[in-house]
Amino acid sequence: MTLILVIPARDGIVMASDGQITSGMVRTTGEKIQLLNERCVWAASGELALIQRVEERIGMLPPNEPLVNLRDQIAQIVKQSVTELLNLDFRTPFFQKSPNDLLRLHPGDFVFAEFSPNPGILHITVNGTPEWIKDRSFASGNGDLFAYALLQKYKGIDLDIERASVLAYKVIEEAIEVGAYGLGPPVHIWQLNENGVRQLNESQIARISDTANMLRQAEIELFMKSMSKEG
Amino acid sequence: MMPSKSDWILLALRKTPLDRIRLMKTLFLVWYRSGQNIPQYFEFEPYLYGPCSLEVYSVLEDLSKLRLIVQAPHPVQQWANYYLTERGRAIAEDVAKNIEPKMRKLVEQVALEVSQLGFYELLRKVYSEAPEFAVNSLVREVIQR
Repeated sequence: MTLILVIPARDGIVMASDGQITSGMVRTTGEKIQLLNERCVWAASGELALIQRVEERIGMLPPNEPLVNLRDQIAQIVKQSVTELLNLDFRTPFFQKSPNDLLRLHPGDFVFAEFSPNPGILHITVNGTPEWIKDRSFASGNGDLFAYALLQKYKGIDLDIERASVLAYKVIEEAIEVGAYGLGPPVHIWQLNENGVRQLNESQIARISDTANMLRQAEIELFMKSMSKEG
Repeated sequence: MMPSKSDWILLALRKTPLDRIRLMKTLFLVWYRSGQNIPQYFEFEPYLYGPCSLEVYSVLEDLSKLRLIVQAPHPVQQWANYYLTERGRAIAEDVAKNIEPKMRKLVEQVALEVSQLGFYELLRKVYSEAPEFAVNSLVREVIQR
């Protein structure tokens, strides 16, 4: 189970994810966002076997090539990896007449973010179709609809990268708290801007977490205050 | 001898348990009210929730690893109060003995004051006392209204 969020900001892009890895009955924590090159990160939701295959091949892509040049190669990698898994899967012959059901055997959803110096967010579906996400946030994985609902009220607001990071943290934290999607802490956040790509360390995440906490507490107390004034 | 950064945290928690944000504000107000000139102290910057020092987080992490402080279980762990352990309290008592009484009193007074304030009141107090550290706050306008 995974929730990945990409939020474009005025001065960069934020990619964030929850940190729970579920394998069968076992739950651990781990990184879900990976570095593609000095300007680009990527993450995926879906079946681990598929993500691993894609990851192996992505490691062989030419280094520091802009995402626009890599788009179709990555799409091919996804398509090839899905095809291989379907060829290995004994269930495949039973779904030959139903492509949608066939693709559900090995689910996967891939997202790439680059800042060079313009923001680029590339989404590749499990069937290998690449699409650019323009001027909006993107969510992938379990709880994506919940994330979109939470993000809706911030649509069109001009955020800087730090505020976008707080928003990403808040959305993922709330999705984890709702708990219906098998998501879990810790929240990982990467920032991409003109200075390059960086993963926020524990102290930086703690600072963002406290900001999200402050927002929530202030909201509650403000609400309570308005109620007591009315009373 | 000047207290270290971790000593200031232990000293504040010696007076009362505090959550992370209240501890941050306590450390800030101690520095701000004492004339902003404590050697080897935390460096504060105006962040999205007001004055913040990234070092506070790493020192808290170190103190937790050394088992000098602990957090009680809480539904949202990062909101939980920090408490001194027995070893932490012993060190805090040493710090209290060796620090200038005026500073000890200031830390105790601020920690107690901050612990008794609601979140909203705390932010309002900090922002009105140190408006230059509220410039980036996400809730500055709401709080100061």
